[in-house]
Amino acid sequence: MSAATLGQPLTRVDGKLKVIGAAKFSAEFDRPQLAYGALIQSTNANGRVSKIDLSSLKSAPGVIMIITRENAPQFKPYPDQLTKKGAPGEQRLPLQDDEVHWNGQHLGIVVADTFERAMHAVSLARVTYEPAKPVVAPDELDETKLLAPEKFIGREELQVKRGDIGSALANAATKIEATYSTPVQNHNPIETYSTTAEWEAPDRLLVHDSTRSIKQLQKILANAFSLPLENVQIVSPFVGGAFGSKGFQWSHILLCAAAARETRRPVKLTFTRPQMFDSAGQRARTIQRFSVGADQSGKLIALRHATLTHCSPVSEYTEPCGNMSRMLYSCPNIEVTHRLAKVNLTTPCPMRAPGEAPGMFALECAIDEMANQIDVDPLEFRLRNYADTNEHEKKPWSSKQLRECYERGAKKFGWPKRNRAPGTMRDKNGNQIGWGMATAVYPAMQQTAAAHATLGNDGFVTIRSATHEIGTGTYTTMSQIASRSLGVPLEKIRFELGDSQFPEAPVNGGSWLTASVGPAVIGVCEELKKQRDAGSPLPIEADFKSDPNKEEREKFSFQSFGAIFVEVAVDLMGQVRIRRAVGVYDIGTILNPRLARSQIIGGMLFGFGMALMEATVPDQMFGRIVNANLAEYHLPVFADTPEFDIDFIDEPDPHMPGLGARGIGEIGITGAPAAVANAIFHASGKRVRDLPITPDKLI
Amino acid sequence: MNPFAYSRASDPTQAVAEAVKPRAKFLGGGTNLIDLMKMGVETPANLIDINKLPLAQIEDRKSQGVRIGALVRNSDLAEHELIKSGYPVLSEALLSGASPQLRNMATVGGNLLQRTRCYYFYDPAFPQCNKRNPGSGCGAIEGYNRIHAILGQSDQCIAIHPSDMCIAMAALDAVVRVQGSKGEREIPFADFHRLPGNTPNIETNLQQDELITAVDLPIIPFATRSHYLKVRDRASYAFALVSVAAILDLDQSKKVKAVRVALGGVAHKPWRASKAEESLVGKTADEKTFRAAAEAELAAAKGYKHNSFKIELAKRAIVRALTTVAAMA
Amino acid sequence: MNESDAPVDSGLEEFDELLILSNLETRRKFIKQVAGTSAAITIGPALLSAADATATSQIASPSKSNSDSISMTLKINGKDYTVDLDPRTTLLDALRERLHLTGSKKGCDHGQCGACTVLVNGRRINSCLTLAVMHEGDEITTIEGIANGDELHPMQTAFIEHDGFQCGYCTPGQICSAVALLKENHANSDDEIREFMSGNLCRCGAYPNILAAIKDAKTKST
Repeated sequence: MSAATLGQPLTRVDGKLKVIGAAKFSAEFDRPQLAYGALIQSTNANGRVSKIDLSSLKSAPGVIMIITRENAPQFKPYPDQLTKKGAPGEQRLPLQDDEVHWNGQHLGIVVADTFERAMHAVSLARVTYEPAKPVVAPDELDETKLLAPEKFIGREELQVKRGDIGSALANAATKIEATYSTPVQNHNPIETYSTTAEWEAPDRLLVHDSTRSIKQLQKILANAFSLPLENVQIVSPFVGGAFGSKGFQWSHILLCAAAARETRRPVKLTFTRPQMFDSAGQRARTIQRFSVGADQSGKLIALRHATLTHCSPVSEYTEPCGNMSRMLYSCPNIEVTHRLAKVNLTTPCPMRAPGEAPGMFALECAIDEMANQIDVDPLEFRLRNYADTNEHEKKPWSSKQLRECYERGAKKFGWPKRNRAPGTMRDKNGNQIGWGMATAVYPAMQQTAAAHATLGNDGFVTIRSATHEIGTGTYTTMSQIASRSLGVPLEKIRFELGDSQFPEAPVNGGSWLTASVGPAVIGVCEELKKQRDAGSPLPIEADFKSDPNKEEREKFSFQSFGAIFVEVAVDLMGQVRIRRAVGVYDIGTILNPRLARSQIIGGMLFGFGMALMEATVPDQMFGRIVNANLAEYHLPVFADTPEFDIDFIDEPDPHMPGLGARGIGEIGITGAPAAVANAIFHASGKRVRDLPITPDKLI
Repeated sequence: MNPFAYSRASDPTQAVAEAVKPRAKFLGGGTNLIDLMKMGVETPANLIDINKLPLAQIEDRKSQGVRIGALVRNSDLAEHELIKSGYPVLSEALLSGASPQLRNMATVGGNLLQRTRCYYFYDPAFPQCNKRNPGSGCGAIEGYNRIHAILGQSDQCIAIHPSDMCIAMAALDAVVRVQGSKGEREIPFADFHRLPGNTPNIETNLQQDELITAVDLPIIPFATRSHYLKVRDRASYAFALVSVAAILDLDQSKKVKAVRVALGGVAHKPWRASKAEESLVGKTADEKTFRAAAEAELAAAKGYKHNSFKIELAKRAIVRALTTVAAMA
Repeated sequence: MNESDAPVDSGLEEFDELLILSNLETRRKFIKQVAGTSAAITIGPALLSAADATATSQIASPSKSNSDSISMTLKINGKDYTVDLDPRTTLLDALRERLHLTGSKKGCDHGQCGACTVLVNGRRINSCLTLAVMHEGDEITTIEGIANGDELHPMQTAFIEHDGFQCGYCTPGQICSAVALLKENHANSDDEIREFMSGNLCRCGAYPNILAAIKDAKTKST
């Protein structure tokens, strides 16, 4: 294989390990004397624990240790950086008080010698409560009890005003008012969270964890147990999907490490599927009110986007639905607000395209509704309101080829043949057929990352960075980058990740992995090359750290863009099937078209699930999730898959570092739910503004 | 999962004898029982593995129909030539249920004994459920009840029967053969499952010491014109919101000579739509007739906060299923 | 052959490289030799040439003698494993927690995702909803037994070629299911494949690529 591998559709370098079942996920590391943990959980959503009766649990066969509030260690509080206002993840330390904030909250951990015995033992815990009535839905609270968060994770402004929205709406030639809503959703990677904690010495902790945030988890555990950072090692070579989960601080990891210390045995704690719904994050429910106005010529003059969402009683993380409304279209008068209700549900956290996914559903449906109201093609309406600059940040785009995405997508799909009137197309079985489209957008971010490289006597190059493989192809793309940078064949590159002892890399999120770790790999390869070319004796080593380019970031607004077109069929019983989907994306340079296409399809399917079937439903009386399993929380199955046609503009972003690649993990979901909802309207004439669009909403 | 004693039965008589042990359960495919044991809903003290019993035959009994052994796996039944050609509604129903893996495991007898579907029944952390804990109340009536029953429910329970296979068998007038300590008996399909009434914890009329040995399908020549329609929240691998098993016999002038309709997803048991059937016989098979029949069947339906849509959905599904069968040559 | 007492000798030195992924001590030693630093996860094309399915076959844990356990022999990928198991142990947990055959995955533990799919007597089942003790005398095939020694099964090759996975967690179940699908003769159209593969969830959304892989493997195996 030649060294010029970048941009080629290579298969995955870790593909063989994955297809033979030899890729080791976090729950699969056998440790000597391994014991099994199981979580005692609250079955009330609010109030206090008055007693945990452990009498039958204590005598259950195989039980080694029980930790509850009674005998819990005192954890040091999470580092400040993780508990800043609006930070994701759990702010509250486990087992330090008797308060109950949501149904499923961890009240203790049981350790037994086998999995079967641990699961049985934990079922014997009898908890009594002083219960209080829970608040389950954000709209149960009156206005005065709502918070108005300033920023999303300290970054994006959540309350934004531009121009004079009131008079603009009053003067609008065309106006719509509509409320859209999205339910609680769960990430549901197929691998659940798993932690295996082991104290190698009284002051040395080794943890195999399904985390996509090894460096952060290392800090969390070192802090909680007052250990030097280097005495905590986190290992995570393969993560079985994340989608926003597995990235923040959650109580079970502390409990597992504490249990391992107390039992002096390695303890494995793996979430059950129901725990994926109540123990470590979710996407919050959103209710989004829109007022949109346009002038006679079909130009937007007013856009108000008011989001109501929720957090838990012990967090202020906010789903930032309005971020894209600030700048996706040209509009002089904007008002974006976010209100936050503290409710008795699990602490929310980012889930694939946090904010953008639900926010773009609402915005892109509202745009479709406006286009229909003024009777103009929805694509034409978007072009009329094309934003040539980021009007919120008042900056030019680093690059924006959205027009090309629209054009190419429309052509591939056959959009020009569309009859604008809804309810006009039928297939031979009498099903209603509809075509819908939406814009896709996601920020292109970059973080600090570092790498270490060694060129050995054998000619092999080993590169290390504390990054992750969650399915996005890190092993492959980073090997490709190194291969090209060094002119060394791919076979002689070893890219190593998933170990906290490696050089710094960011949390694997925000679609920033390639743009962050990529430049570090290029940099370290350049350093290596210098030494090699200078004739330094082997082995040679190099280090490199890459920081975001602040100057460029000040000057430009960095966003990826895309256009998605879908065809749906709606039958007499209100069942929707997506028949085909076309997506064209401007995400900068494509490093590996095969993997890029896969990720975009995955993102779109994620959005189709959001559009048609996914909803986590809390019981109103108990705040307990009624459908916390994969039979009743519907993920898209194989039979839900349409035909896909995916294309990329594939031109480098001149202001992105290194390769001009912008990131790909999240943009696929943005726009997909709206495209489906818009197509359903086109098919049936029914505008459903509340996701998911299940048969009951269409008959 | 609770601890239990495991034993393996070698013949039906021995299995029946074992069944009188305290909290004994037969273990077939395990797809429902082990699921519920993990949830802590089922807590048998004795598990009698019946998988080695010689009950996995499908027997062509000629003029007397087909006898299906209780341990025939769902996938084998669905793919069997006698079923595909003579009872397509049954084959379709089976193939619309669960997944290929589960169909390879699930047995006919076990399918009959699947526990009803309800969020509040399946999760013991909910305090109210008259099935798990008689007298505790029903969590679903005032709770989230989108999947729940609209026909035949009681103020004690609004859970629904989950099977697809059983809906087709109800339409086919199948007969369940059982062996107990007092000998063998036959239970007509309509009498096998129960409505909840005041005892929702008792879902079938099978006795503790009885083992299902077979299901008999009678000869129904016109069952070759039949169809199973399943409406669900995703394209596959989902329970029915509503389903319809329809069998239709038309004369030369397109008038209904005989008809069988059963509904799934609407009641605590497979719901034989006898009012719809009555209204159809002798009428011209067209959409208007079908709609009238659907209206007749659903006249008594009662919805709750989240499931009222099922009433109209069931009507449309009946019309669509009958229309499909009527169009078969 | 009784696998419970003695380690399996793969007979192939190269396999050590693969085992670094499963054994931290070995991994640390290996890394010291190679790079002279602390622990690392090593992967890359260089290793993959040596990788082989049988490399993951390991020994069973020493039998525990609990009064409530049952001694049984399970035939997995052509080998007999004798173990004492709590009768509550599912086939999946026996594979993953006792026999260290971790290729079969746990995604839901309730027959709702298909990640645990294995072949029993040639038929695909969910190993999470069946007890190990029910399978004495059965021929059990897991993902570790799908390849023919060092030679990948055409389905495995096709999954790599068509990028039929991302994170790889559902992949062993998908492949076992797809191998059975061809045998069942349910791969005759795109829609039939989609329907008969619907028991295997993939949250990464690799379905279109899996469809392409199955069609490719079907062509190559007929």
